Amino acid sequence: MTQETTASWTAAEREAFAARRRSRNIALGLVLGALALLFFGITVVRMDPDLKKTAPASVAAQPAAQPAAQPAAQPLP
Amino acid sequence: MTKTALPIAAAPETAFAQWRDYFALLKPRVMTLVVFTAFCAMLAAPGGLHPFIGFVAILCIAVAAGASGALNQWYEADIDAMMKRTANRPLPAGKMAAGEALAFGVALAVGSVAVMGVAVNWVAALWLAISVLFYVLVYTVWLKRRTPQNIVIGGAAGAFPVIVGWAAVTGDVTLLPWLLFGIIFLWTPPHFWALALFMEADYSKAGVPMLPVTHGLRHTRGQILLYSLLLVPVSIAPALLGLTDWVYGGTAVTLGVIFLAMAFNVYRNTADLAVDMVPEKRLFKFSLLYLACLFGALVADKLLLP
Repeated sequence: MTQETTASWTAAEREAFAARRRSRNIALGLVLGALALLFFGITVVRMDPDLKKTAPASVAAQPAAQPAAQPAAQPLP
Repeated sequence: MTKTALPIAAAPETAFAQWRDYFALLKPRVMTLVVFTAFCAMLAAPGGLHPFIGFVAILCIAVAAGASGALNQWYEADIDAMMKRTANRPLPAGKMAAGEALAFGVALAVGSVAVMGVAVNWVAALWLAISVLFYVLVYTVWLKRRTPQNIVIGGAAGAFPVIVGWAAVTGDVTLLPWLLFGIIFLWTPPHFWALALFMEADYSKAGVPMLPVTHGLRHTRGQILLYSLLLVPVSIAPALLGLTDWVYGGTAVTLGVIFLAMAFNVYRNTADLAVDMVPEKRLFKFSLLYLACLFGALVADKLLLP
Protein backbone atom coordinates (compact mmCIF):
# COMPACT_ATOMS: atom_id res chain seq x y z
CA MET A 1 0.00 0.00 0.00
CA THR A 2 2.74 2.37 0.96
CA GLN A 3 4.74 1.45 -2.15
CA GLU A 4 1.77 2.20 -4.38
CA THR A 5 1.29 5.68 -2.96
CA THR A 6 4.96 6.59 -2.74
CA ALA A 7 5.51 5.41 -6.32
CA SER A 8 3.26 8.20 -7.55
CA TRP A 9 5.18 10.92 -5.71
CA THR A 10 7.05 13.58 -7.59
CA ALA A 11 10.78 14.06 -7.10
CA ALA A 12 10.13 17.07 -4.82
CA GLU A 13 7.76 15.04 -2.66
CA ARG A 14 10.24 12.20 -2.35
CA GLU A 15 12.95 14.67 -1.38
CA ALA A 16 10.75 16.28 1.30
CA PHE A 17 9.78 12.87 2.63
CA ALA A 18 13.43 11.82 2.86
CA ALA A 19 14.40 15.09 4.55
CA ARG A 20 11.78 14.64 7.25
CA ARG A 21 12.75 11.04 7.82
CA ARG A 22 16.44 12.03 7.97
CA SER A 23 15.80 14.75 10.55
CA ARG A 24 13.89 12.28 12.73
CA ASN A 25 16.63 9.70 12.47
CA ILE A 26 19.30 12.23 13.41
CA ALA A 27 17.25 13.36 16.43
CA LEU A 28 16.70 9.75 17.49
CA GLY A 29 20.43 9.04 17.18
CA LEU A 30 21.26 12.04 19.33
CA VAL A 31 18.72 10.99 21.97
CA LEU A 32 20.13 7.44 22.07
CA GLY A 33 23.67 8.81 22.39
CA ALA A 34 22.57 11.12 25.21
CA LEU A 35 20.88 8.19 26.96
CA ALA A 36 24.07 6.11 26.73
CA LEU A 37 26.04 8.99 28.29
CA LEU A 38 23.37 9.44 30.97
CA PHE A 39 23.44 5.77 32.01
CA PHE A 40 27.24 5.79 31.95
CA GLY A 41 27.26 8.86 34.21
CA ILE A 42 24.71 7.34 36.59
CA THR A 43 26.77 4.15 36.84
CA VAL A 44 29.99 6.03 37.55
CA VAL A 45 28.36 8.26 40.19
CA ARG A 46 26.47 5.43 41.88
CA MET A 47 29.70 3.41 42.15
CA ASP A 48 31.51 6.34 43.76
CA PRO A 49 31.82 5.85 47.54
CA ASP A 50 31.77 9.64 48.02
CA LEU A 51 28.09 9.60 46.97
CA LYS A 52 27.27 8.62 50.53
CA LYS A 53 28.52 11.97 51.76
CA THR A 54 25.79 13.84 49.92
CA ALA A 55 22.98 11.37 49.28
CA PRO A 56 19.88 10.89 51.43
CA ALA A 57 19.63 7.72 53.48
CA SER A 58 17.24 6.07 51.01
CA VAL A 59 19.78 6.46 48.20
CA ALA A 60 22.75 5.45 50.30
CA ALA A 61 20.98 2.28 51.39
CA GLN A 62 20.53 1.00 47.84
CA PRO A 63 22.72 -1.92 46.76
CA ALA A 64 24.83 -0.09 44.17
CA ALA A 65 26.42 1.97 46.93
CA GLN A 66 28.94 0.90 49.57
CA PRO A 67 28.14 -1.66 52.30
CA ALA A 68 25.66 -0.55 54.95
CA ALA A 69 28.30 -0.49 57.67
CA GLN A 70 29.28 3.06 56.73
CA PRO A 71 27.48 5.92 58.52
CA ALA A 72 24.44 7.44 56.84
CA ALA A 73 24.69 10.90 55.29
CA GLN A 74 24.33 13.79 57.70
CA PRO A 75 21.97 16.60 56.67
CA LEU A 76 23.58 19.95 56.14
CA PRO A 77 22.80 22.64 58.73
CA MET B 1 9.48 23.28 1.85
CA THR B 2 6.03 23.54 3.35
CA LYS B 3 4.24 20.72 5.11
CA THR B 4 1.39 20.83 2.62
CA ALA B 5 3.73 19.92 -0.24
CA LEU B 6 3.20 16.23 0.59
CA PRO B 7 0.02 14.21 0.04
CA ILE B 8 -0.59 13.51 3.71
CA ALA B 9 -3.73 11.41 3.19
CA ALA B 10 -1.92 9.05 0.83
CA ALA B 11 1.35 8.65 2.70
CA PRO B 12 2.33 6.73 5.84
CA GLU B 13 1.49 9.22 8.61
CA THR B 14 4.44 8.38 10.82
CA ALA B 15 6.90 9.57 8.21
CA PHE B 16 5.68 13.13 8.41
CA ALA B 17 6.27 13.95 12.07
CA GLN B 18 9.55 15.73 12.65
CA TRP B 19 11.53 16.04 15.87
CA ARG B 20 9.97 19.48 16.36
CA ASP B 21 6.53 17.88 16.46
CA TYR B 22 7.62 15.45 19.15
CA PHE B 23 9.14 18.34 21.10
CA ALA B 24 5.90 20.34 20.80
CA LEU B 25 4.05 17.31 22.16
CA LEU B 26 5.97 17.72 25.42
CA LYS B 27 4.38 21.15 26.14
CA PRO B 28 7.78 22.73 26.79
CA ARG B 29 6.30 25.92 28.30
CA VAL B 30 4.43 24.00 30.98
CA MET B 31 7.56 21.95 31.55
CA THR B 32 9.50 25.13 32.40
CA LEU B 33 7.25 25.89 35.38
CA VAL B 34 7.35 22.29 36.58
CA VAL B 35 11.14 22.13 36.38
CA PHE B 36 11.52 25.49 38.10
CA THR B 37 9.32 24.61 41.09
CA ALA B 38 10.85 21.12 41.44
CA PHE B 39 14.37 22.56 41.24
CA CYS B 40 13.56 25.14 43.94
CA ALA B 41 12.12 22.38 46.16
CA MET B 42 15.32 20.37 45.67
CA LEU B 43 17.47 23.36 46.62
CA ALA B 44 15.30 24.13 49.65
CA ALA B 45 15.28 20.54 50.91
CA PRO B 46 17.63 19.66 53.77
CA GLY B 47 20.62 17.50 52.87
CA GLY B 48 22.37 17.27 49.55
CA LEU B 49 22.48 15.34 46.34
CA HIS B 50 25.36 14.62 43.98
CA PRO B 51 25.09 17.28 41.23
CA PHE B 52 24.84 14.68 38.48
CA ILE B 53 22.14 12.74 40.33
CA GLY B 54 20.38 16.08 40.92
CA PHE B 55 20.55 16.71 37.16
CA VAL B 56 19.11 13.24 36.51
CA ALA B 57 16.27 13.93 38.97
CA ILE B 58 15.39 17.21 37.22
CA LEU B 59 15.62 15.52 33.83
CA CYS B 60 13.25 12.75 34.97
CA ILE B 61 10.77 15.31 36.32
CA ALA B 62 10.94 17.28 33.04
CA VAL B 63 10.52 14.16 30.90
CA ALA B 64 7.62 12.90 33.03
CA ALA B 65 5.95 16.31 32.70
CA GLY B 66 6.52 16.10 28.96
CA ALA B 67 5.04 12.59 28.90
CA SER B 68 1.96 13.88 30.73
CA GLY B 69 1.68 16.66 28.14
CA ALA B 70 1.98 14.18 25.27
CA LEU B 71 -0.68 11.86 26.73
CA ASN B 72 -2.89 14.87 27.41
CA GLN B 73 -2.58 15.99 23.77
CA TRP B 74 -3.25 12.45 22.56
CA TYR B 75 -6.50 12.31 24.53
CA GLU B 76 -7.60 15.87 23.78
CA ALA B 77 -6.81 16.09 20.06
CA ASP B 78 -10.51 16.55 19.31
CA ILE B 79 -11.00 19.62 21.52
CA ASP B 80 -7.56 21.00 20.65
CA ALA B 81 -8.70 21.12 17.02
CA MET B 82 -11.57 23.43 17.99
CA MET B 83 -9.55 26.06 19.85
CA LYS B 84 -7.46 28.68 18.07
CA ARG B 85 -4.79 28.50 20.79
CA THR B 86 -4.25 24.74 20.35
CA ALA B 87 -5.29 23.99 16.77
CA ASN B 88 -1.67 24.04 15.58
CA ARG B 89 -0.55 21.29 17.95
CA PRO B 90 0.93 18.25 16.13
CA LEU B 91 -2.13 15.97 16.41
CA PRO B 92 -4.95 18.36 15.43
CA ALA B 93 -2.71 19.79 12.69
CA GLY B 94 -2.32 16.28 11.20
CA LYS B 95 1.46 16.20 11.56
CA MET B 96 1.48 13.03 13.64
CA ALA B 97 -0.55 9.83 14.05
CA ALA B 98 -2.43 9.43 17.34
CA GLY B 99 -0.81 6.05 18.05
CA GLU B 100 2.62 7.61 17.75
CA ALA B 101 1.80 10.25 20.34
CA LEU B 102 0.39 7.62 22.71
CA ALA B 103 3.44 5.36 22.37
CA PHE B 104 5.77 8.34 22.79
CA GLY B 105 4.00 9.49 25.96
CA VAL B 106 3.85 6.03 27.56
CA ALA B 107 7.52 5.32 26.76
CA LEU B 108 8.65 8.62 28.28
CA ALA B 109 6.49 8.18 31.38
CA VAL B 110 7.68 4.63 32.09
CA GLY B 111 11.30 5.50 31.27
CA SER B 112 11.42 8.61 33.47
CA VAL B 113 9.92 6.79 36.48
CA ALA B 114 12.30 3.83 36.04
CA VAL B 115 15.38 6.03 35.75
CA MET B 116 14.27 8.12 38.76
CA GLY B 117 13.93 4.94 40.80
CA VAL B 118 17.23 3.41 39.78
CA ALA B 119 19.35 6.57 39.79
CA VAL B 120 17.78 8.69 42.55
CA ASN B 121 15.39 6.85 44.89
CA TRP B 122 12.13 4.93 44.71
CA VAL B 123 10.18 7.34 46.93
CA ALA B 124 10.71 10.09 44.35
CA ALA B 125 9.93 7.59 41.58
CA LEU B 126 6.65 6.65 43.28
CA TRP B 127 5.56 10.29 43.55
CA LEU B 128 6.62 10.88 39.94
CA ALA B 129 4.44 7.95 38.81
CA ILE B 130 1.54 9.27 40.90
CA SER B 131 1.92 12.74 39.36
CA VAL B 132 1.76 11.38 35.79
CA LEU B 133 -1.18 9.06 36.55
CA PHE B 134 -3.01 11.86 38.34
CA TYR B 135 -2.58 14.31 35.47
CA VAL B 136 -3.49 11.83 32.75
CA LEU B 137 -6.18 9.68 34.36
CA VAL B 138 -7.77 11.90 37.05
CA TYR B 139 -7.45 15.29 35.34
CA THR B 140 -7.38 14.67 31.58
CA VAL B 141 -9.53 11.56 31.19
CA TRP B 142 -11.88 11.72 34.16
CA LEU B 143 -12.58 15.28 35.29
CA LYS B 144 -11.54 17.89 32.73
CA ARG B 145 -14.62 17.45 30.55
CA ARG B 146 -16.98 16.71 33.45
CA THR B 147 -16.59 19.48 36.00
CA PRO B 148 -15.98 23.25 35.95
CA GLN B 149 -13.64 22.66 38.90
CA ASN B 150 -11.25 20.95 36.43
CA ILE B 151 -8.64 23.65 36.96
CA VAL B 152 -8.56 22.98 40.70
CA ILE B 153 -7.85 19.29 40.02
CA GLY B 154 -5.27 20.27 37.40
CA GLY B 155 -3.62 22.44 40.06
CA ALA B 156 -2.95 19.37 42.15
CA ALA B 157 -1.35 17.68 39.15
CA GLY B 158 0.92 20.67 38.60
CA ALA B 159 1.85 20.77 42.29
CA PHE B 160 3.26 17.23 42.49
CA PRO B 161 6.73 18.10 41.09
CA VAL B 162 7.68 19.93 44.31
CA ILE B 163 6.92 16.73 46.23
CA VAL B 164 9.04 14.74 43.74
CA GLY B 165 11.90 17.25 43.92
CA TRP B 166 11.89 17.24 47.71
CA ALA B 167 11.70 13.43 47.88
CA ALA B 168 14.60 13.17 45.42
CA VAL B 169 16.86 14.91 47.95
CA THR B 170 15.53 13.70 51.29
CA GLY B 171 13.93 10.35 50.45
CA ASP B 172 10.76 11.38 52.31
CA VAL B 173 8.02 14.03 52.26
CA THR B 174 7.55 16.33 55.27
CA LEU B 175 5.32 19.32 56.09
CA LEU B 176 7.17 21.99 54.07
CA PRO B 177 6.86 20.22 50.68
CA TRP B 178 3.15 19.71 51.36
CA LEU B 179 2.82 23.46 52.05
CA LEU B 180 4.64 24.14 48.76
CA PHE B 181 2.22 21.72 47.12
CA GLY B 182 -0.64 23.70 48.69
CA ILE B 183 0.75 26.98 47.34
CA ILE B 184 0.82 25.75 43.73
CA PHE B 185 -2.52 24.00 44.19
CA LEU B 186 -4.22 27.22 45.38
CA TRP B 187 -2.28 29.44 42.95
CA THR B 188 -3.46 27.52 39.87
CA PRO B 189 -7.19 28.46 39.92
CA PRO B 190 -6.67 32.26 40.06
CA HIS B 191 -3.91 31.96 37.45
CA PHE B 192 -5.89 29.90 34.92
CA TRP B 193 -9.31 31.39 35.58
CA ALA B 194 -7.85 34.85 34.95
CA LEU B 195 -6.70 33.46 31.57
CA ALA B 196 -10.01 31.68 31.02
CA LEU B 197 -11.93 34.92 31.56
CA PHE B 198 -10.38 36.65 28.57
CA MET B 199 -10.18 33.40 26.53
CA GLU B 200 -13.75 32.36 27.35
CA ALA B 201 -14.92 32.32 23.74
CA ASP B 202 -12.25 29.74 22.83
CA TYR B 203 -13.20 27.32 25.64
CA SER B 204 -16.89 27.80 24.96
CA LYS B 205 -16.38 26.79 21.32
CA ALA B 206 -14.55 23.61 22.36
CA GLY B 207 -17.22 22.67 24.90
CA VAL B 208 -14.76 22.45 27.80
CA PRO B 209 -16.70 23.19 31.02
CA MET B 210 -14.44 26.01 32.19
CA LEU B 211 -15.89 28.04 35.03
CA PRO B 212 -16.52 31.23 32.99
CA VAL B 213 -18.44 29.13 30.44
CA THR B 214 -20.58 27.20 32.94
CA HIS B 215 -21.07 29.69 35.78
CA GLY B 216 -20.48 33.06 34.17
CA LEU B 217 -17.92 35.80 34.60
CA ARG B 218 -19.21 37.14 37.93
CA HIS B 219 -19.01 33.76 39.66
CA THR B 220 -15.52 33.12 38.24
CA ARG B 221 -14.27 36.46 39.54
CA GLY B 222 -15.62 35.57 42.99
CA GLN B 223 -13.84 32.20 42.86
CA ILE B 224 -10.58 33.91 41.87
CA LEU B 225 -10.85 36.12 44.95
CA LEU B 226 -11.76 33.15 47.16
CA TYR B 227 -8.75 31.06 46.07
CA SER B 228 -6.49 34.12 46.41
CA LEU B 229 -7.71 34.57 49.99
CA LEU B 230 -6.83 30.93 50.67
CA LEU B 231 -3.50 31.13 48.84
CA VAL B 232 -1.97 33.98 50.81
CA PRO B 233 -2.19 32.40 54.31
CA VAL B 234 -0.83 29.10 52.97
CA SER B 235 2.05 30.93 51.28
CA ILE B 236 2.93 32.65 54.58
CA ALA B 237 2.50 29.47 56.67
CA PRO B 238 6.07 28.14 56.11
CA ALA B 239 7.46 31.31 57.71
CA LEU B 240 4.87 31.37 60.52
CA LEU B 241 5.64 27.75 61.36
CA GLY B 242 9.37 28.46 61.45
CA LEU B 243 10.13 26.24 58.45
CA THR B 244 11.67 29.16 56.54
CA ASP B 245 13.36 32.43 57.50
CA TRP B 246 12.58 36.13 57.02
CA VAL B 247 13.60 36.36 53.33
CA TYR B 248 10.82 33.98 52.38
CA GLY B 249 8.41 35.36 55.00
CA GLY B 250 8.88 38.99 53.89
CA THR B 251 8.56 38.08 50.22
CA ALA B 252 5.44 35.97 50.83
CA VAL B 253 3.71 38.79 52.74
CA THR B 254 4.62 41.49 50.19
CA LEU B 255 3.67 39.42 47.15
CA GLY B 256 0.55 38.16 48.90
CA VAL B 257 -0.73 41.70 49.53
CA ILE B 258 -0.18 42.61 45.85
CA PHE B 259 -1.82 39.36 44.71
CA LEU B 260 -4.86 40.03 46.89
CA ALA B 261 -5.13 43.61 45.64
CA MET B 262 -5.06 42.41 42.03
CA ALA B 263 -7.59 39.64 42.73
CA PHE B 264 -9.86 42.25 44.33
CA ASN B 265 -9.55 44.42 41.21
CA VAL B 266 -10.61 41.42 39.13
CA TYR B 267 -13.56 40.85 41.48
CA ARG B 268 -14.68 44.47 41.07
CA ASN B 269 -14.36 44.41 37.28
CA THR B 270 -17.66 43.99 35.44
CA ALA B 271 -16.36 43.89 31.86
CA ASP B 272 -17.82 41.29 29.51
CA LEU B 273 -15.45 41.82 26.60
CA ALA B 274 -11.92 40.47 26.60
CA VAL B 275 -10.53 43.80 25.47
CA ASP B 276 -11.79 45.43 28.70
CA MET B 277 -10.41 42.74 31.00
CA VAL B 278 -7.28 44.62 31.99
CA PRO B 279 -7.30 43.52 35.68
CA GLU B 280 -7.63 39.88 34.59
CA LYS B 281 -4.68 40.20 32.18
CA ARG B 282 -2.63 41.94 34.89
CA LEU B 283 -3.41 39.22 37.44
CA PHE B 284 -2.52 36.49 34.95
CA LYS B 285 0.89 38.05 34.24
CA PHE B 286 1.56 38.89 37.88
CA SER B 287 0.67 35.36 39.01
CA LEU B 288 3.61 34.02 36.99
CA LEU B 289 5.96 36.55 38.60
CA TYR B 290 4.41 35.77 42.01
CA LEU B 291 5.24 32.06 41.85
CA ALA B 292 8.72 32.66 40.46
CA CYS B 293 9.59 35.20 43.18
CA LEU B 294 8.06 33.13 45.98
CA PHE B 295 10.05 30.02 45.09
CA GLY B 296 13.12 32.14 44.40
CA ALA B 297 12.80 33.56 47.92
CA LEU B 298 12.48 30.04 49.31
CA VAL B 299 15.81 29.12 47.74
CA ALA B 300 17.43 32.42 48.76
CA ASP B 301 16.28 31.81 52.30
CA LYS B 302 18.01 28.44 52.38
CA LEU B 303 21.19 29.43 50.51
CA LEU B 304 21.86 32.94 51.82
CA LEU B 305 21.00 32.65 55.48
CA PRO B 306 23.11 30.59 57.88
